[in-house]
Amino acid sequence: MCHRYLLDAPRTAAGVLSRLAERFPSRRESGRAAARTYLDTFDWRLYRDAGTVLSDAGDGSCSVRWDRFDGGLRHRVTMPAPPDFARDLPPGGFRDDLQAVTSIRRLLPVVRIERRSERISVVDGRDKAVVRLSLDHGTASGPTRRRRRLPTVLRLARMTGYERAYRGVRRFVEEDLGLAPGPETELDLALAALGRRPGDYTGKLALRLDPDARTDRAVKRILGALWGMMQANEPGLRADLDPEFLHDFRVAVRRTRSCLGQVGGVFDEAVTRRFAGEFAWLGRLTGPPRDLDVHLLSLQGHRAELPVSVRGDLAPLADQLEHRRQAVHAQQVEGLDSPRYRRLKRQWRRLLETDADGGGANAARPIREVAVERIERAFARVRKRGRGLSAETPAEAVHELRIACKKLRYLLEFFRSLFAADRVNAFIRSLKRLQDDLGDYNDLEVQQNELQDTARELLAAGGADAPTLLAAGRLVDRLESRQAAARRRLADEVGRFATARTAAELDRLLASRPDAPDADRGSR
Amino acid sequence: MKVLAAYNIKGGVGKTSAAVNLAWLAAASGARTLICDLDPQGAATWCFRVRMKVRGGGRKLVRGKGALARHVRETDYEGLDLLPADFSYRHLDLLLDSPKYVRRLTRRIRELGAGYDYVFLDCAPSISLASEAVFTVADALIVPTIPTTLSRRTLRQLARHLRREPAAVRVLPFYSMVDRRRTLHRRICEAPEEMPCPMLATEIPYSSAVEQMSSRREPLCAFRRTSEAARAYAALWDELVRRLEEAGPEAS
Repeated sequence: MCHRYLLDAPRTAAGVLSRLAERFPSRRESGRAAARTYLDTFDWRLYRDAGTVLSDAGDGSCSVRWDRFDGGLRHRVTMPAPPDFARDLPPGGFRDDLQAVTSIRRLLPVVRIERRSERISVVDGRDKAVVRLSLDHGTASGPTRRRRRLPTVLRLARMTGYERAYRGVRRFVEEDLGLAPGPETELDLALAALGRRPGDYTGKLALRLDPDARTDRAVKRILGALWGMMQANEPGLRADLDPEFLHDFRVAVRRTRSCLGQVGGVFDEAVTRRFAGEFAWLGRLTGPPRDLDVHLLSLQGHRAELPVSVRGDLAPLADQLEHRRQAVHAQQVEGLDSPRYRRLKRQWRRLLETDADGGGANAARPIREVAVERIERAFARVRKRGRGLSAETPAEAVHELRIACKKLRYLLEFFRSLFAADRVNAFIRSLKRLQDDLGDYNDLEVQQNELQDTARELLAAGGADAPTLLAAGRLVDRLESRQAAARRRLADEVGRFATARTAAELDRLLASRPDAPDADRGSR
Repeated sequence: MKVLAAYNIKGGVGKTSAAVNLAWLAAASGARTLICDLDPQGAATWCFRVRMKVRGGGRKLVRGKGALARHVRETDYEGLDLLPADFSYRHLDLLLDSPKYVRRLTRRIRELGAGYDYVFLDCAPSISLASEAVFTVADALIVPTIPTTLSRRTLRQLARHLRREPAAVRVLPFYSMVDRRRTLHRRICEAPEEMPCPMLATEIPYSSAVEQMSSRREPLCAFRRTSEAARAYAALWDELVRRLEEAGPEAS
């Protein structure tokens, strides 16, 4: 646990230290200079987990530590270079815990702080430190931001077992010196100095729409937020930092297409058609690299299902997939560099920024009315596609059901702020169960095909030996039987979801208001 | 979490010096480290300038129900905590009069250690019921052994005793307080095959700097890092880490 106090001038800082030294028996410790870099994933997973990971690079080695916001040390390790991913850490609790939070996301530098500290310890009668104090002077810089001077900070750190002494010093600082506690962490202080907001990126759509707003304005806000997500992820996608940049980029593209297609009559028909075509192209451009990302990630999981003795045989397959992934990634970057993409960006931004009437039949209608209509239509389509689904239904029909569910889900997410939040959340949870099963089924289908294609490719290139092909065969077998099981589960899940009861729940949802939840909610 | 006990049936062999310096080295390498001072003399507690007092004493340690964490004190060194000794630990054996309490003590030490990478136990000399708990809870016994005939005999006693124990704790003895000017020390160190169990390669030399630890109340490695003995402790720690890794990575 620690507390921070901002001091406005160096003179105040010196005065504070001498007054503390007069009041408490203390010991001056050696000063410390440090250059430390705070790391986090692009979507702030560590910050959201109430912790900070920082690397402190010295000569030839680097100390990496994970602190909780309350100042407690969670893990610390010394390694040759800062980690790019959790998996780069040496085996042990630090790596396992970090992997649980960051998963496949890359650790990116958020802020670099260069700090000089004057340190004193308040001591007891044995000359044992009981409270640590330091005056920190420093600067902060970000990957794309200029260096800024940080305000001088008095930092009080509590030591385990000496809580009473800490309370005494804290009381003196706050009551006698009249200092007010400042930001909770050094990272908060540095981000504020650089004009950044922690958590400034999230893959979730969180818009508050006015139910009476014109449909074209509301839709432009949704499309604008999605466009922002694409722009935020594009640099990481191009640099191939981790698979989630591409994932989030594609989700935003898909949602954009869905919005254009599902909320019809907003723009002039020719405009809608043109942009729908362009975003479909963007979807196709980014599809193959994503499929290979998914395949490589799932191959790691499937590997664990094979006997240990044959796991190594899959290595040529993984290499081949990685090779293909790099090739399609290069094509994807080429596409993003093309005049076609640049034109799309320019024209799309212009459309979203203009205040002019959208030009479609629904443009001037209130958004809530249009949203209700569209959600009802999308749900009717899910029920129609789900009806009569059995173990014999062809894969194409299952695929169509999956797409119909996705469209319904997107509409619910676009317009969630127009209805009672708990009703929307409950409905989405129920829909998500069905979507998960549909997704599993589809992924298993795609992976079998990919695996067979890759094995064939390897064979043709003369790079496959019998053990590799046998291992691939075993894996395809397993995937096939898992897919059959997924299909059985799916039939049950569709039976559960596509019912009159769900339809009634949706009716209640669509009748609800965000600020006036209906009366029967408490009984559910 | 690994539990390492600095242990010997004999006293005055360098157990506390080993526990204090190895714990300091573990913490300095980045590991979250705890040192539990189980010796009623409280020398490790003294070295870290912590008050030798555990509220409720040995009874609380052995039979208490509350978590031991509330007795832990942070030392002046980052990442290194201490569970202080209490003079009442001299009666520990009386409190451990039933296997139930031996089991409880081991469980309590394990629970306390869960938030750490290494737990060092600084044990009192003797072989007693408290030692039984140590043999159960520890992953390895680090046994400082002075190269003398009597020390060799005590190590043999320990090795024989442990062979009869159901739980197989690893024994990692090393030569301690070695004075190569003495013929006996030289002769014993040069004939490791005559020892009752394999010795670690690192020797800790006899050094007046080690004795200064008790007057300065700091680990030797903290105040005289470049001294011969401090460098020997660093080499010993490296060797121990390697040996513990050879036993296979931790399951958790």
